[in-house]
Amino acid sequence: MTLLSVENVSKSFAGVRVLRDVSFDVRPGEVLGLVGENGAGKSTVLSLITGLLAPDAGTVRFDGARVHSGIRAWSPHRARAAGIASVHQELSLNPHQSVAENVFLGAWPTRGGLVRHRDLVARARPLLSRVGLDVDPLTRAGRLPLGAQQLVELAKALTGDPRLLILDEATSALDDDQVRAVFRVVDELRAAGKSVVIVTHRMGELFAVSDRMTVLKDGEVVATRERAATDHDDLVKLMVGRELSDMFPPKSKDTAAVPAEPVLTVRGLAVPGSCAGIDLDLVPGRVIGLGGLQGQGQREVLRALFGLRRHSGQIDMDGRPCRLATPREAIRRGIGYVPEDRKTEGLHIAHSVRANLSLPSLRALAPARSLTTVSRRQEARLVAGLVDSMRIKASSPAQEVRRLSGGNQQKVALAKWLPTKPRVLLLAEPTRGIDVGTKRQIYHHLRELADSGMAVLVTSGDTMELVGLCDEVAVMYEGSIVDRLVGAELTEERLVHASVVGQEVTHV
Amino acid sequence: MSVAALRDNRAVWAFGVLGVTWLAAIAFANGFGTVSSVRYLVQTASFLGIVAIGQTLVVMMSGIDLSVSAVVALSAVVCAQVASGSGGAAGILVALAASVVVGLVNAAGLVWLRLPPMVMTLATGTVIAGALLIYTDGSPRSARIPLLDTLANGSVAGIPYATVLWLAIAAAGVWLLHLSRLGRYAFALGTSEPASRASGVPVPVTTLVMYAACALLAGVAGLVLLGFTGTSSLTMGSPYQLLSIASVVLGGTSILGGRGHLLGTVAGALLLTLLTALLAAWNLSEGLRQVTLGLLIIVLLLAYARERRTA
Repeated sequence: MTLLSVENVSKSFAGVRVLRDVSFDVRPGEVLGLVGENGAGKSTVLSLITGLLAPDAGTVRFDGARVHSGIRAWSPHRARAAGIASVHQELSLNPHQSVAENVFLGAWPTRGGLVRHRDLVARARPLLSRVGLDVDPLTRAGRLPLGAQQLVELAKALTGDPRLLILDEATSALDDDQVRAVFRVVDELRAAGKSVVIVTHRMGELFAVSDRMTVLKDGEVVATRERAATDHDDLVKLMVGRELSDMFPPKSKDTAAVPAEPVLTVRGLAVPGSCAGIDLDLVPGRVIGLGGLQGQGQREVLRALFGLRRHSGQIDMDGRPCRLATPREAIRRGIGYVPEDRKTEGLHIAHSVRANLSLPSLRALAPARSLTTVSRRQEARLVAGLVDSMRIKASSPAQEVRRLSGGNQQKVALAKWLPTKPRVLLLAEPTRGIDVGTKRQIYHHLRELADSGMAVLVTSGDTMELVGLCDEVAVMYEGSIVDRLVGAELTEERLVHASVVGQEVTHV
Repeated sequence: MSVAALRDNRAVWAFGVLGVTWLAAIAFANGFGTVSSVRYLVQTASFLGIVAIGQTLVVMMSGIDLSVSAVVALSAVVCAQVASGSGGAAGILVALAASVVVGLVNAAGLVWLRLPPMVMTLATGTVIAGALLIYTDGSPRSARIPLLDTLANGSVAGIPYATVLWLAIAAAGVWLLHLSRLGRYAFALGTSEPASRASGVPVPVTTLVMYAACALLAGVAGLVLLGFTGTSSLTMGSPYQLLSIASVVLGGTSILGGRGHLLGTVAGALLLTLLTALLAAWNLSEGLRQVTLGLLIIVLLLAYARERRTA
């Protein structure tokens, strides 16, 4: 018996096959993990199920009925009515409306045609507590941290009491507690005989909740495995055909040998309401991590150092005090920033790869002596060099960035800083929602940049990433650094422990 | 550029629609094929065209300038006034300087007071209109300035000077918007302000220059109009307010900014002038003319200049 079955489905976009003969099924009371690198076709398959797209060939059956047939076309609306709900990595909340309004968006409970706020709030409460969210339902959604907004999305998906819940990278912005809350919901659904399809790049999560896993590679199903019959390495091998061991590059060798002068010294950095008393030494050649649970002020440290947040404290560059009040000042002093929110802040997604890559370097490409006319030839050379060295996969430099895969977008967001020859590189969640292969490439790029004399500061919610990539990790809790891990101390256990110890100390 | 790229380019569409409309006008209406009618058309289009080029600069950075009609009048009134005392050259310079100041004030309001462009420019425009009313008492003032007279009415090799000026300004605009560093910054700002700030785009300088340029061009249009009509009046700029925005959009530039080409605006201004002339030629009443023009603009927008749904 199956709830959903995808049978020999194929789909092409503009002549390019993205799905070829894909088949899998989901049984009632089952959690199916859908895995594969970015561009493997996961999103396309999900779009077929949720009615955003129609297949070129093959059938999708939900509850035994072919969905893409008959007079009324399958649509997101009909999919929802049939009991298919989905939560995506991209948020679809209205930031200016309250949490409660968002939860019931499109289906506000009314009485005599009027929406009663008291009803709305009363009905939102149990849903919010079900997803482990302790917020006032009247808070504006945009005010919540990213992770909490993601949980609101989940609450919203649960409103219609779905029979099939699709979680598409829905946990990528969540900390461990929040992920546990999501999994609790998944377990409840499973126990109630409902089904879940989950897509995530975090292997640990996949093994924690899935009953079976279907691996997609280049638009084809490579294998479907029972959880007991597979392991981490096996799956990764199926996805990329590569061992995990070379995921991270070797670390900086001269950790203790050459005590290089820090390029940027931070003492007592404070951002009101976010962090205080932050001391950091950013040394050329080293990758430093900011760890801890999600939302402990790591992001604000980076934004302050890039001049995007008002801050106080002493910041010295090469031993001389400097003011970093605007991004322009930070850039002029050789700081580059790859934000966590690459689609709004990191990139001009509606612009070409070319325009994105050259934007921070226009001063060099359009010098005053040529009346600031941009030299197209130099620009083309610069862009070609970056596309080549970062292995950015785009059909041409004129392609819009929004058409690239997440991994390639992130490469562009990083690559655009390289021609400005930054001495300090700040990266927030550099591999969020990115496939394994590209992750590996980015880790190696970052290490190469450090080796070439750059100081790198990374925040990440992925402990494995911090441990594998960084030379030193400062652990933050509620806006302060509570521990620093270097060398042999830097293990996943220590890092997780330190993040939690911070919690105990402050709550005594 | 490949054929597909041309098909996606809405500025190219604007020229296509212009060509078809013109051919239709020649075929179905009287007198549109003659050299003198073409001359008259490109000359009249120049006034709108110059204002619209300025408008393009600010629309591209997802701004809008609703003070252009007031600046057109301001420039003409100031020039007429100053010229009567201190001569034509002084009048022209003072008028253009006053226009630039208005642009800088607009930009300052956006950059430092963080007001939305629509509100800020509408407010400055209203203030100027009111000040002019107080200053002139509402009565038109006539002025004969030989330089402006030649500029507006003279021609070289059969081409009106006004049109030559328009095309020269268009060329400068293409450089500013499409070839210079500042233009790149304007496009970037029009696409995403947060991403632009985080990429080091100099937001204040870009805003100041583009709004100042827009106001300057409105001022230039005011002077040419003064030369053309010989009088300055408070309402002489009003037709250009919304028509300049319509020219930008019919030229294929996204009203949301960040997408389009300045040359499209040249086609847009010509197209609007041509349609106005066509409607006049059909002897429709003034009211009916406006209704038809409005409907035509909607039809054209639907045909090729609609905003894409976000993919």
